[in-house]
Amino acid sequence: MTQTLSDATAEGRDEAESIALSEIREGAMTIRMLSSGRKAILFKKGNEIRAFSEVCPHMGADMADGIFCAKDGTLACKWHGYLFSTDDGSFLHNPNEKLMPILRKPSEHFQPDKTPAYRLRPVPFTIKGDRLVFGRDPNPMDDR
Amino acid sequence: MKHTFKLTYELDTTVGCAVAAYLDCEHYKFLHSKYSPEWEVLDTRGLSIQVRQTWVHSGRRVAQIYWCEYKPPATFLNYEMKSDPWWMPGVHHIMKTRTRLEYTPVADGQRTKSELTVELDMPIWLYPARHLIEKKLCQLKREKDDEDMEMIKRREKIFGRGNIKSYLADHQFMLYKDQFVKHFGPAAEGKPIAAPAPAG
Repeated sequence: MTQTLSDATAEGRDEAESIALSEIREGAMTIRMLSSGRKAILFKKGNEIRAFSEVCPHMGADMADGIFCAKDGTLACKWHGYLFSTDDGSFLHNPNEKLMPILRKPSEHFQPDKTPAYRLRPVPFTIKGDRLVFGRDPNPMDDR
Repeated sequence: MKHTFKLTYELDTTVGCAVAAYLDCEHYKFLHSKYSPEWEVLDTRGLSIQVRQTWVHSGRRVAQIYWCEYKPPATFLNYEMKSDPWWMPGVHHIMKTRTRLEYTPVADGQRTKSELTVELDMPIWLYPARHLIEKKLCQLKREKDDEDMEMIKRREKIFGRGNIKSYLADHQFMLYKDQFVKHFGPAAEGKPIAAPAPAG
């Protein structure tokens, strides 16, 4: 659902649900509050912009409070340290697997091989002139 | 000389959520990194783990090793606290500390009573400072609980009050997962929380 500056199309949205492209800086994390009550987190890399929901797909933390590494293109969750790619939102690494191997033994109710493909949820948007306009999120509260 | 005190208050959440937050040890090193930046498990023994934890007091890092025991469904004991490394000057050389944390449901299970009992055994010359030590320990406990409650309240806002489904998922790691599922999983729904485990 993420789009690039080049292929995005304008569809007409309320100004309040948009942001000037000039406000989205490369190497920084841009945060925008949406009318749904959710935040959108925006990243710019070259000509491409990515927008993700602020809800961590692991436990629901606010990723807008996470630690962004522009050099690596990663965002770390402040609750559990889970690391995500800001290029496509994919889950990269759980640092706890290395930190506490002594405990992470499979049991009846803990089956580590079933780890789901966590991914930051994209927020749809289009480009209209010099503004990025957020699209309608079909279910902004459904982050599970 | 012994000094025992209790810190009791209510948490605005269910016992299941409070216990889940406690057993969700993957968050210790990150959410609580401000004052406890290191947390490492050294050994395990039944429902006990030996932990090495670093605390930050007044800008100074101090490390301690202790055993942390889980008594299902909702009691946690900490004991055998030692300085780390052992030769490092620290309060554990002169004072023995044991803690017992117990969560019990109140308000028809919608809220949780948190009761922390702390037993300090200290030399007579330190006894006059017992209330200062008590105040500091209570402050640390409240700060940690505040951070946990911030996490719990945000999850409640997103997923609903008392929702522990994320913790129950097969892939989700937490301490003593099988015990947690036994007492708070689908099979335990509707059943009252069992009586607290005996002291000790």
